[in-house]
Amino acid sequence: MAARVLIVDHQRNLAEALAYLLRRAGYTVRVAANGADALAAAAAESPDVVLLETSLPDLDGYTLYERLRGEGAGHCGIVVLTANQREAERDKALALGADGYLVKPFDPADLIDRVRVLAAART
Amino acid sequence: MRGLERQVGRRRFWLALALMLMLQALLAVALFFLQPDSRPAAVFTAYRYWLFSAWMLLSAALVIVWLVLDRLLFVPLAAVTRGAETMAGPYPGHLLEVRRGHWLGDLPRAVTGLGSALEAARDGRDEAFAGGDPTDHKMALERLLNHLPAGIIVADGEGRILLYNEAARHVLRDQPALGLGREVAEVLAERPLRSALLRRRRGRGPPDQSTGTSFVCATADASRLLQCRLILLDEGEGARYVVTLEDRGMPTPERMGHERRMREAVDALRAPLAGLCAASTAAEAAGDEPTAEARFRHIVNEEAVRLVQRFKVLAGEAEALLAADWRLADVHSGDLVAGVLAQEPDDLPKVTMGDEGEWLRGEGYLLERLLANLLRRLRAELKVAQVRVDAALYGPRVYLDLCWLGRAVPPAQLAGWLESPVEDTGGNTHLGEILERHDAALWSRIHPRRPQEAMLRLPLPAAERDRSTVSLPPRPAFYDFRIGERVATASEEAGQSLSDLDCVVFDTETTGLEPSQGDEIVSIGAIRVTGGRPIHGEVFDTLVNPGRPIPEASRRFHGIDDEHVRDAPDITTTLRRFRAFVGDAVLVAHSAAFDMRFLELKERRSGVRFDRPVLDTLLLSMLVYDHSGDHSLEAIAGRLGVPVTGRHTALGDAVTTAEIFVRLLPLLRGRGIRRLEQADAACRRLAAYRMQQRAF
Repeated sequence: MAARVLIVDHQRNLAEALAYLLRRAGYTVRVAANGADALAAAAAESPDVVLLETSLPDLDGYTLYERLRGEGAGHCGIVVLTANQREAERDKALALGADGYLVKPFDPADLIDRVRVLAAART
Repeated sequence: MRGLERQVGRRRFWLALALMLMLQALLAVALFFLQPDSRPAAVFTAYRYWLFSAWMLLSAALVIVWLVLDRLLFVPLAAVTRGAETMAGPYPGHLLEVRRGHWLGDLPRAVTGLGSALEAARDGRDEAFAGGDPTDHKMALERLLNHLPAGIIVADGEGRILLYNEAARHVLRDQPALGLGREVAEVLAERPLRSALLRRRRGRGPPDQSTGTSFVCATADASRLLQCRLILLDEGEGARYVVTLEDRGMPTPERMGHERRMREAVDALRAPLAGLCAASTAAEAAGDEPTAEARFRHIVNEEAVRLVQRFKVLAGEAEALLAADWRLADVHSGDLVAGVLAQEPDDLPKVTMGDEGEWLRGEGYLLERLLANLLRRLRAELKVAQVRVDAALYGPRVYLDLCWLGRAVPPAQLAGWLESPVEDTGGNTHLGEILERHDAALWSRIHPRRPQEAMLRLPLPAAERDRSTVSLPPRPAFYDFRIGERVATASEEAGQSLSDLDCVVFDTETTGLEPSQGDEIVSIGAIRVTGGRPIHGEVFDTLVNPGRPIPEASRRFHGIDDEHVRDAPDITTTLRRFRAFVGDAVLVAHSAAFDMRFLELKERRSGVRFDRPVLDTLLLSMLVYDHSGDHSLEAIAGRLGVPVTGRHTALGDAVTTAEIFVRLLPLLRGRGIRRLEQADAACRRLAAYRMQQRAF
């Protein structure tokens, strides 16, 4: 069974391109543009990997992060996608248990590699 | 007080004389009407007549003799006595105020000769001292302190300021409470300072004692952050300490705004870039799916447009940030020229300074390179042999003009110069780039006032220095290590010696003479006097917006018009700042009642109360120079050898009054007035006496 990836990002173009690339790489992909959709999708499909933008229109990324961990995605791998490159933010995300931290812009191939490693560990 | 007694005595004498004459007249009238029976009436009438005439003559002679003696002997004698006291005290060059035709013979000339001899002797002594070691060392130390770029404050164990240098004054320029004898905590936030002191005293600083403890501390009003270092001078709880201060260009609100917008602009690029990368990769991957490929190529285009928009914002912010913070410092035009001449005099024309120069703000080294480049080109391409450098301040800019005899540089040639690289500037910096970075331009033309000359004009940002309207004599450093010995509690203050008092001498300029009729203050100037000397670095000088038009008559008097005060603070703000400047000092003013009336009438509205004792130099002068009726500022200044500068500016008059005040102190001592309470009592008695006189 193909690993499931949930992309949580309100940047429509980026999410669409990433979803296409991940699908082509053999993953089942679901896209959520805000926190509420993300929680609903996580509860319905318990994704293996979540790609999470920390600044969302309706929820603080870290709040969403904690709730995802609590609700149906407790075991999943989470990669933070962010426009914030400060070291302190990276430390915070990793300290809270994120499995990866990617500062935009990133190489999509790099992202797919990380998803592959995280998904393999969980399927 | 003897002066006042003498005046009262003179008045009593004239009253007694008038009374005596009236009594005599009454007696004469009584005798005239007396009719004794024993003598023939005619004899008696003649006798009465002669007796009455003799009385009248005698009385008139008495008055005339007294008047002559008073005018030709007593008054000149009093003037010589006061003059001799002034010569022996503050001013040996004092000119005796003796009218012609006196009966003192050669006495005034002899006293003047003595004064001259004394002046020469004092000058000789000063010269001898100046050549000696201790003064040399002291002056060298003062110069050193003032050339240190870091601000320095020395305080005693109680936190009172014993010394501070010019840089400290500059760093703390917006703290009106900075002054000798004031608390350090009045100019710096107390908590970080106390914590640094505790750490230092407990030995928790770094092991090397000489480096002291570094800490960041806000100014007392929390407007700026300063980088400070604290070093203890002694050991124990009451140890004196030194605080060095540096304004590290801690972020101003403007600078912080730039940085925030810059960060936001950079972050805003990330999202479209990420979209672009992902879409471009996806488009490539979708080579076998034409619909998907077309969709991702469309996304690439969309993100590229967003990127270009956001890049423009970023570029604008980057430019503003660079222009705002580019190693700019205050530099004097004379130093720039000297720097050029020191390095490459061979291929340059002869350079002279046309004036004293101006302070401007720029990157010194690059401006030197730019000047050297221009001068060398003038010599090589226009054969200019001699250049005069003029500097003039026009608003926020200093116009640096290179002037020479001959023709101007043609625009095309100048454009070529601007595009040429400047050597030794690291990388490929062009002349035009240095100008841009200083927000400057360069043009050449015929000199506007000297048609035979051409010039290159270079407008540069002016330095952000306070420009006082009065040029104050330079005072190297501000220190007084005796403050600890002199500080008095409130109850002791009245008994404190006048020369030990901490005073603030002030003056106001106003819209008119009637505060109760709506006249307002337009300017306040003040200078601190500590330990019997005016501290020229501790001045308060501000214009005040009076909230009403300034009448033409006042404008002509002090030169301040509506335009000058348009952006000035209002009276409430000014009085709060002035009150902070005064602190616990005694107030001194010339004709103080006038200025105090203005301050008192504002008490209720501003909530600022000036409840410190007040001394009046006009009354003090009347106590000392009782022989004269002229106690104007100019007259007293002339008597005491005080140079009058900036007359009818608040600060100028305050400085003159302060110099007069300190020179009156030894003369007051000679009259037995040594303490504040005595001066206060004498002033009150004299004021009351003047009121009585007016009532007559």
